[in-house]
Amino acid sequence: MRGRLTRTRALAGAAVLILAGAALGLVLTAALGGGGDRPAGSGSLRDLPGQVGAGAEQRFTPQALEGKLGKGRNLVATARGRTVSVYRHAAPGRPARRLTARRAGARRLPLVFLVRARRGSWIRAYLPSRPNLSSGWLRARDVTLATTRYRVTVELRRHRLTAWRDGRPFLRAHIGTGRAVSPTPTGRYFVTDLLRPPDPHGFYGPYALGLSAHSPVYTSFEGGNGQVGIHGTDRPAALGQDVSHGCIRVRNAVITRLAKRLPLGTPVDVSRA
Amino acid sequence: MTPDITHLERFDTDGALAEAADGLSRSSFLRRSGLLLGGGMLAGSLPVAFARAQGGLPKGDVAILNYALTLEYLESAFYQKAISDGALKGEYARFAKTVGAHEQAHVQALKKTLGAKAVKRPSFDFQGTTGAQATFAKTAIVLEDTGVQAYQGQAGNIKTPAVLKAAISIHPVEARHAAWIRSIVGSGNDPSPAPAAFNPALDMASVLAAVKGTGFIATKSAAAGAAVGAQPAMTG
Repeated sequence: MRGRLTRTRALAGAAVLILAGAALGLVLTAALGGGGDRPAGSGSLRDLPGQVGAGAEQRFTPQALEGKLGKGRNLVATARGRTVSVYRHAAPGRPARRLTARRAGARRLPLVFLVRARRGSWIRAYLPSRPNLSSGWLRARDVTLATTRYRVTVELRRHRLTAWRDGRPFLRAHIGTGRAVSPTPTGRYFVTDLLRPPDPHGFYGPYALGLSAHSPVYTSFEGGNGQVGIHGTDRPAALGQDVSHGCIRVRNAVITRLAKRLPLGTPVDVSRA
Repeated sequence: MTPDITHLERFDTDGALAEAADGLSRSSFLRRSGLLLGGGMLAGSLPVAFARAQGGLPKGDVAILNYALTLEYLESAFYQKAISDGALKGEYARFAKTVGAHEQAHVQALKKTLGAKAVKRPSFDFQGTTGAQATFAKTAIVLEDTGVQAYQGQAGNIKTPAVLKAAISIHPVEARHAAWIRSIVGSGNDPSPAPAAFNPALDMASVLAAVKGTGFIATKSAAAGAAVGAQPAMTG
């Protein structure tokens, strides 16, 4: 009798141990599996403002961590070297073309692009070259990226330029635009260079912002390739009219303000309005 | 304010880091690794020594180390910004200064480990969370909890024993940070410094998506263009 009780107790004890072990195993699996509920009070990045759900990144790249661009911001790419290969597609192969940084006198100008899209290690960008509004794919490793919080809009019929910061206008100006025979091209362009003419009171005023736009009429002009720009003027009375060879003229005080604030690569949207 | 990272050797209190120097004695290892740069640098030296002996770290370990480095950059920058903002007082300020130094030491260690393969420090925008004590504390809890879960989530993926040992020497430090800030905020009650018996891990994809969602890591802002003195050749 005593022996039977002992065996029963032993079996019961073993059953309890097995059940306890199984329960512990379940708890461990849940706790260590990585997908279980967080412990009470555990913080989560998703609790912070502006969260997104879990993504599907498989491999670590620093770019995967960059948040969305803020309102009114655009990405600018600057070539690491003197030349950049441009591809038709976001895939390795023979480049469609190679762009080289231009010179202004003895100085080499930065080679910048306005980014349209990003795909993995590739960047689609507006190009600073003819034809107007052309774009292509660049290798991300060939450029550095930065954001610009500025944008410029140009309304040709209204003869009005507006400069924006973070989506809010901070400057409005009367402008002179291209004549009918030498029109200012429309579309999305960007600032490619900033020059300081030797005579600040001369034809171009104290500064000239070169754009990625080119004249549809002139393929060469004053030793250049017909590049369109925004610059000052020595004839402020002519502003508000179609008077230029394609460039956008503003008062010298206006171009000075723009020159001191706009990064290279800032988008310039020119419309007929 | 730059965190003080000159006295980090004390973090290697039990000699675990030195022991991980793959056969090297602590003294000889310290001599070989540049000596007395502190525990953080010491931690970083381990995989370097190992990698040199083995002909390089596996690709997967490099990716994990860069992942860890980016999270450490984030934490380090967060505390530096909080200190420079000047909104923290008393225990909060002491926490930020001490933990900021730890995170900077982790950054240095990981960078040294990775050498030329280390990712660059991103730009950060902490969305104003460092400007007030309450938002600082809430964010610090989240960052430290996530750091713990992120290291834990990669423990099983690291192939190189020396890297694993270095990683698990950082992991409990992050857990201590998490407990400390929770203790400051909740005075030992809510949030609890030790909320559960088991800690869940977070996989890389979840951590990356969550960090991305904060908007804390930002692309740097371009400065105004530098004017080049030259006669324009535009259409006028």
